[in-house]
Amino acid sequence: MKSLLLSVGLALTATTAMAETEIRVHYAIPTIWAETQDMLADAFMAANPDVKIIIDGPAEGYADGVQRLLRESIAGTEPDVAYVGLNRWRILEDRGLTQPLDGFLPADTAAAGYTPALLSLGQYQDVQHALGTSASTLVLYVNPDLVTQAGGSMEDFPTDFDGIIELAAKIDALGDNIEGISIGRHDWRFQSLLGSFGGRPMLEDESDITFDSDEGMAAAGLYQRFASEGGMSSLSESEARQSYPAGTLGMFFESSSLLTRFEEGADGRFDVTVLGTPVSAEENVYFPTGGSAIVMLTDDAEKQAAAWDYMSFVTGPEGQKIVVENTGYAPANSIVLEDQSYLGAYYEANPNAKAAHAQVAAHAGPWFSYPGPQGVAVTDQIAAALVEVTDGADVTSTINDLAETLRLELGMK
Amino acid sequence: MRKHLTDLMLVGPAAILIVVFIFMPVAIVIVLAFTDYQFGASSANWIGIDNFSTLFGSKIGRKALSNTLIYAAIVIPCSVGFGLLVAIGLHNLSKTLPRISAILRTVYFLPVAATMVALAVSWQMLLHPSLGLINNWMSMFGLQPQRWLSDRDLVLYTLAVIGVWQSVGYNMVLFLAGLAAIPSTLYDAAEVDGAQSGWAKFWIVTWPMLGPTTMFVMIVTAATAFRIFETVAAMTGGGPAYASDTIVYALYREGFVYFKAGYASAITVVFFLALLLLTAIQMLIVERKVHYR
Amino acid sequence: MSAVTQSEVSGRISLEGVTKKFGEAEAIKNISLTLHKGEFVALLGASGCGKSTTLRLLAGLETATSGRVMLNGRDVTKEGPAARNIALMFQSYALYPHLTVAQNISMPLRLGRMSALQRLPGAGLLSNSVRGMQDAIAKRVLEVATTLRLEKLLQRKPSQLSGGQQQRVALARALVRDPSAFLLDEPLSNLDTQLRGDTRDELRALHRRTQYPFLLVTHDQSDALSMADRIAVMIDGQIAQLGTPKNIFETPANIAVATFIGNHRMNMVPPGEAELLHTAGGQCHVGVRPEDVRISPNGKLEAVVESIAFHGEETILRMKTQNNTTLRTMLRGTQSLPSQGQTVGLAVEQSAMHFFDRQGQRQKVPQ
Repeated sequence: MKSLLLSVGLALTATTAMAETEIRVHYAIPTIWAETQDMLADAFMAANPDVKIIIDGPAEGYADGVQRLLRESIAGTEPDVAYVGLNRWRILEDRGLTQPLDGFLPADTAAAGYTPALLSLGQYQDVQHALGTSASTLVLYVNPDLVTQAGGSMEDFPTDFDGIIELAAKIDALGDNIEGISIGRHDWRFQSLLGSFGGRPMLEDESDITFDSDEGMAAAGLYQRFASEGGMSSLSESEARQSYPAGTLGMFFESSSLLTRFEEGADGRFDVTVLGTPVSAEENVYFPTGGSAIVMLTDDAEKQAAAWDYMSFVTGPEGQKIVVENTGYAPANSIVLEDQSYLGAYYEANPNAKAAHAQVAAHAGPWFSYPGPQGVAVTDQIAAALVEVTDGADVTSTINDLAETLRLELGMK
Repeated sequence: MRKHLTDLMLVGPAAILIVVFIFMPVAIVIVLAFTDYQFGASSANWIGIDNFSTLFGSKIGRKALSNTLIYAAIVIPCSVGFGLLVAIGLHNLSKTLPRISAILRTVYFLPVAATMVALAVSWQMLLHPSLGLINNWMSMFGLQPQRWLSDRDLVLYTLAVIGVWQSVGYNMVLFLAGLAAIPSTLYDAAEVDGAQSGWAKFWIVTWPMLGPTTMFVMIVTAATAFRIFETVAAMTGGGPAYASDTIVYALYREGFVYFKAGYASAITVVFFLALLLLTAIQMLIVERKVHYR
Repeated sequence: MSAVTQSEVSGRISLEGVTKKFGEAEAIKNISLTLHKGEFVALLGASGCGKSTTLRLLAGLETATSGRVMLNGRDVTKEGPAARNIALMFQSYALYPHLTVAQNISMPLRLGRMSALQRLPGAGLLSNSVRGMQDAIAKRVLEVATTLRLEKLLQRKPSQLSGGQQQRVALARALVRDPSAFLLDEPLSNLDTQLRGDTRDELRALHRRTQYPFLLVTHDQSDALSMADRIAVMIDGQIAQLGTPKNIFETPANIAVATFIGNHRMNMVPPGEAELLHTAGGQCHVGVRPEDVRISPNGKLEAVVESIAFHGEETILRMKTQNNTTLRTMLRGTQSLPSQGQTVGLAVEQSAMHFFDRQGQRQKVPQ
């Protein structure tokens, strides 16, 4: 009896001692992530009772989130683990805040579902700083009703940009309020079109800008052709995001992450249909991937172990299943895609999600973020150049000037 | 001696708070303005006036400056002028139809009381090129629909109109108070002196008597106009292609999106000095010109 | 009363049966009043009696609800102040605070002689004729300013002037043109006693010199009595009596006027009790000014002394008769005073008595 009590007592002390590892987690965009984060934490703690996950109050957006992490790091109160935008973890890396993950990764990364393409999302100079937790790429949203009205059909929908531009012009001619096509004049959309032609914005070692190539000119030229031939009026991002679900925009290149929002917005007025972005080259095609990544910030060895357990859980198939089912983002783990037992039923019910996620699996690639203190600032300059090109400025000279400007600003020269 | 000590004790806490929370941050900002400090970085380099030459020398910096000036040049006179016009209208209306005048006063004041971000959303919907009411009306009257927020040549003026719309109500209230304070015998005197039209009475009595109010309204409107930020942040993000970039939005963007704390500090310093200068000039004019009593 | 019967045509400005209503309230009830050339008329009344409204009706700042306003035989009822060319000096002076003294004085001329375009700043630089007008106006302003001793203050702002100086500026602004009549709204009420006397003399002199019809609105009977040729006593929106100061003081037309005029309120002994003073008092009110009441052992009217107030040269006794009528008497010099609570007899010379019938109208009583 006495020994029984003793062992119960030991067991109790053991669990309390084990449960003392607390991991503080930061995330942003509660409108998308709040419930998913709670589910991930609960599922993880159920499997790992020795770790307690504490979720910080979320930041409004990824920009705010990074700001807060920087502030907290100055004060020494940063969380142990943080979800950040896929294009923003480099800011933390640049300040030396992220812990390299190579020591934690299993020897056979592919077997764990981390394909080289997916790992590339969180690598810089061959060091793994982040792991993708959710992914999105540029897809083509189509309004089938408008396509049919314009004399086209979803069955023989054009598979190249020439066909799409031709269709866009026909849809555009349907009425004053009807727009044929729209694409945001934005760094990430541009990188996506560039990738469709097999181009890259920069050299791998970030020593030079490479979008002033034939592929770059073709990609930037598409903006101009959309406008001049396809009748694209330069809707702002938020205007286009209102027009498509309202049923007045025929085709819309946008992030796959907006699928749920558009389906809700269209509210049955038409069948929101997702197609892959046309692939215009034989090889080197990739689509820069947006979404979120997770980074480790703690430098405490004991906490690092627990933090890694959490990270590998949320980036593993179980965690990714939760992410996909609740956010509509594409998963950043190949097992969850390949093994029907995880998401087979989900994709059966959501063909649009399948189309979007298949593109991630096939062509996911890094969203290049430009190095140095001007890294974010130059993306706005790229956007400005795309506005000019759309409005009719000469493609070759504008893009060449832009590349030169970037080389100067980024200190590549 | 004892008295001095008590005085010090009374003044001390407030003085320390002012030093800690006002003077120190300002000093830090001024120092940062001469460095390339990046938000979150552990060190920074002294780069002299590079930040300032970038602001005044680069295309983007100059665009933000000129946009802000154009915006202010439209908003200040229009908002003050319409505010005065509406105030005079409502002031006269209140003598004959006080109920309707009170209702209209509330209507004009609504934009002032409402949250700008919420209003920005409704403006975005109204101004939407294909779905918006405004373009629908335009085409109903046979006018060419416009891309109010995505046309580079138009966006700044659209924002300026919204800025005027937003501040007219506030100026109107200030002018109404000013009008109520004008002694009615002055209007009688003007009439007896031979001012027959309302126009003549306006120039002889109303306008000069509103001098101090007008000056105050101008200062307030100028300060808000130069600080234009919310509409830009909520509706255009400075775009397209920096066409609606303004100085405070650039300050926000450089500091909190690009994390260039040094450059953002330089913008802050310039902006602060400009506003200080403006206020000083206006105060001088107020003292000289419209000080009747 | 003879002045009222002068012919209408010769009068420069007149109100004919004018009534003014504000909403339902009648502020002015059927008033007729004529101002003749060279005449100084005072409109005397307590505050709220309608005298300011009458003045505004004459000036054209208010429009009559019914009745006519005539100017030199012309009906100007519907015309504004500009068309009537009437000068008005406001009680508050109503100077333009942002303009200099010279600009204030010149305003009626600038508005009367120059178009809006010609009044624009800088117009004088462009046009010779405008410059000519400006010079003429400046000359006239200096002239008027000099007569009112303002020539050294022309470049000051009103806020830099004393009250008396401000008033002279207001006078100058009214005088600078050639008005058809000159209305003064309580011109003395903002001045201290010393300045009041001087200003009275000055206004009288001004009137003699200019011969404009003057209308002085005042609540102070000493102003009216000392300055005006005729006084119109206004009570409750109506003119209770119109006449010379002497006429009004000596033969008040009714009880209201009788008790309003005079340094000390006239005693009024009601019918019946008044019989103790005069046989006619059985049916009449008998009014006696306090200075005419004597204490006399032969006095039939007896009263108890209630209070004694010593005012230096004079002493005022407040008394009460058996019928609870309050009487005052003013005693001069060193005559012996009764003590408080003492019953005294009161006597009055018949010539000092004013008789009013039961409706309050003056009665002639044979001696």
